[in-house]
Amino acid sequence: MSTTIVEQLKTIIAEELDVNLKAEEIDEHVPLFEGGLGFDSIATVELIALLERHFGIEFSDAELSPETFSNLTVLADFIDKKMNSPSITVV
Amino acid sequence: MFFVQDTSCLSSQEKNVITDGQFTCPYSKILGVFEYIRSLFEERKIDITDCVALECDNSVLNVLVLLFLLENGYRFLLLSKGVQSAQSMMSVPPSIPSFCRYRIRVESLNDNGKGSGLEHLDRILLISANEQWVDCEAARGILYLQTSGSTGVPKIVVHSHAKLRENALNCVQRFGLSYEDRVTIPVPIYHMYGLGAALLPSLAVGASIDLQKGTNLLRYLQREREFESNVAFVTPAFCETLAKGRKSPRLYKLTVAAGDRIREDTFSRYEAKCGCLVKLYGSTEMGAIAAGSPDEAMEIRLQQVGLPMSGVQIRVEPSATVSPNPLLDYSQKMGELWCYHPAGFNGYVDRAGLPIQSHPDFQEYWFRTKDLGQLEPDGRLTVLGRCDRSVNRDGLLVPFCEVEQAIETLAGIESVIVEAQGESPRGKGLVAYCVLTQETTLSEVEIRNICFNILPKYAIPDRVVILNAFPLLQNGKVDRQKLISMTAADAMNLARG
Repeated sequence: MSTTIVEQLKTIIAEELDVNLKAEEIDEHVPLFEGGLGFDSIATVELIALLERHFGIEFSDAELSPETFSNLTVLADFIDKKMNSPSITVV
Repeated sequence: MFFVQDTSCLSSQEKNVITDGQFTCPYSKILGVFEYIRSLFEERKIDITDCVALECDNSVLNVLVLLFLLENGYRFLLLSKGVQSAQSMMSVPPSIPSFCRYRIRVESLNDNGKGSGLEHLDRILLISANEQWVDCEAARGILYLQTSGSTGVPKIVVHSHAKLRENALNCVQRFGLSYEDRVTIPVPIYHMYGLGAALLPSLAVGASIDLQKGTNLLRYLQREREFESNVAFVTPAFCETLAKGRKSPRLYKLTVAAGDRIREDTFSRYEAKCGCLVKLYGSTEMGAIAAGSPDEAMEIRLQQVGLPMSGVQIRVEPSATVSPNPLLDYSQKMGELWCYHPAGFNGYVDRAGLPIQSHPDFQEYWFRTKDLGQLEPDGRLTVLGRCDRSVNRDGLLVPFCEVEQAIETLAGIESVIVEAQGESPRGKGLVAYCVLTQETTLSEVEIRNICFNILPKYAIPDRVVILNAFPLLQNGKVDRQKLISMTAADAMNLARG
């Protein structure tokens, strides 16, 4: 179900985020930060804004956790749940 | 204890802690850890007259070793753990000067070490002899720091522990730090800012401390929830990240920002979301020179750095090249800042540990900051930027920060850095490197054309370069040398103006 979201995430990262990565280079199982895709704080802030726009969702501060963003598969699942139940909030 | 002022925090009933997210040490256990380090030093025959190099990052055990060395009057050099090389993901150990007899390194705990740490000290506290060691006699109670080297080759700066403590107490007083506070330190403690303004003042009052290394927005927000911090020491760049990334307001008692210029709009946005923000101005040599106070009104904290620290004198040397310029609104009071600091450094040494006599930037206890600034009538200090970040064009001084500030007011511009490069008919060539906000379609030519409306002719950059992001140094500051080298190849084509 969220496979397509994973693909969308890769496209967003490759085309809209300033991280110099191609969609086919992105592994959805590696961490987003050091030791993986290597995002820094600036890229993270940008990514959050892009996701909110693209998927029409809004993160709360509590949802902005390293767990939610641990890799693209986890993130896609989270977005999927969030889109299907807009009222869900992780406390 | 010499550095920990309020020793009641060391008693076993007290709950304040030092944590790095992995390992947490209550203040009550500090003396026990000291005993262990002392026995390890005895075992390795490290004498109080030996100089050691401590490779440091923001971890609890590093803080404990650092505090042990300070409390016992050791002579030591504090330096970063070394740069991670991109290829191997391995850390390259920093080279240490010949006057250090031993190198101490605290290994990072892996996940298995979670919650423990003290039991495994012998495995993670690594002491090795420096093979290039050449003895160099010097007084006890000395701390050596390296300058960050953002403007050239790093220098070795000599501080006495006593003055370092004085510097820390200045910060306690100015920021109103107390035992009740929960302080987050995401800036490196091997630099003067993290050490002298954040860590040592927090230790002095026995406040709870949360050390973070290589933090990012998500990790910061997570740790903030767990640790419940109410005071933070950050860089202006991280202020920007928090102001943008944080979803709902969470007010701190105090945030201190230092290390670079902070944009006015960042300041206001940060303050609305995270509460009182003060600026700190200082250097590796002088420690904290001036800072804002949470007692001051926001307009004052926004415009100026603040009052000089106790006993600090500031001299503004009018630069011969400064000309009054109504368009850019700088006055003749502006000039190069020189500073006398009763708790400042002792001088510089070379890599053999020998004092460098009569350094041109340190004359009769007056230190040349190489920063441009001015003293306001009420005694508060305003700092505009580096002196070397200015050029003469058409016989008039153009501080880069003034050009940056003017361009940053344009819609669609996220941030700007101006550098001198090549020559232009007006004098040194000026290049404005711009990062645009999202969904902006401004072109380099368009930006330059708008400059004609907002800047006097001689201050209009000869060239505008749009970048996706600025290259950064390890300490988060912009890597200006790399920035310039990115466009150096075609610098010859500059002369347009």
